[in-house]
Amino acid sequence: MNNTKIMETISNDIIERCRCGDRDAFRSVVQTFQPMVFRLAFRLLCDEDEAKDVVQETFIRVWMNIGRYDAAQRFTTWIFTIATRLCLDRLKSRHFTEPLSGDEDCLSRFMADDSAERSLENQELASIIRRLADGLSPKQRLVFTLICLEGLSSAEVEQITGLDGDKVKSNLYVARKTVREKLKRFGYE
Amino acid sequence: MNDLDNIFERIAAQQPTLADADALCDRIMANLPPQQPKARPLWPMVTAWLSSAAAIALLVLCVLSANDSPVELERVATVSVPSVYEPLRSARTLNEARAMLADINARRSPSISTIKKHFAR
Repeated sequence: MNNTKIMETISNDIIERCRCGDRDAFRSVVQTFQPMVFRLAFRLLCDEDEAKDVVQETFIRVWMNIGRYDAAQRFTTWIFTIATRLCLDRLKSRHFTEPLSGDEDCLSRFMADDSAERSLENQELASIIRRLADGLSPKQRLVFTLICLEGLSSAEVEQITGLDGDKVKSNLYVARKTVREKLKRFGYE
Repeated sequence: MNDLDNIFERIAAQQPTLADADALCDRIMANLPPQQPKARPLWPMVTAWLSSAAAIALLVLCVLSANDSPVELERVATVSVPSVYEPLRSARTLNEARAMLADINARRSPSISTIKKHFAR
């Protein structure tokens, strides 16, 4: 499986300067981790504007609470935890998320064209993920996205979501089963 | 790797594009509120809590022991009482006096069964 793992790192010196209120240091933190947070939020929420709002909210929380950041934890994991919780809150507040009319066509085209290497537009990618993840509970969607799309390990997901190992496994099992059954309807075994 | 993983891999390889990343960064920087203070170490709070708990416990002990003090006992002992209550003077604590008083009263007030036996005779 392709891993788009959390690769970004930042020096302890920059984190320490942020703790002291250095805004220039914090700008470099935002520039480093902004794409990573946006990618996660976009894959979870399938909405560009909402994902940008989550990015902003995440970094504001990082700035406000960086004094409480425990250096024993990886900085990237800490940021991911904040972003994930914000996304989960938004997912929970959505009562029904119906797939849009063009989502199914988008997924069909993507499935039929497995040799294509072209980059998808944001809207196409959102359609595909939205159609695949339709019917998953917020937690199943979260675990599915973190493991299957972000390529994180179960241990990292446990740390980020606060779920225990069994819950991560069961949510992932149900999510994969649901997605597999959905794909069967598209003739993909 | 099965087909499902292959599909996930293809989707994961697609990166959403963050347009206007600089504008978003500027927006974040412009909206930064004041920072929260650093987390304080826990032990001074625990020490303060323990010392106040100890002070309260000490106060409670003082109140309890004051209830059973010899001063109270003296006051009981100097009151003029009927002879039947004379043994109370030997009590060393108020609680002991209470126990003795209960014993005396029990002996002075016969039980219902004793009264029944008396009239049956």
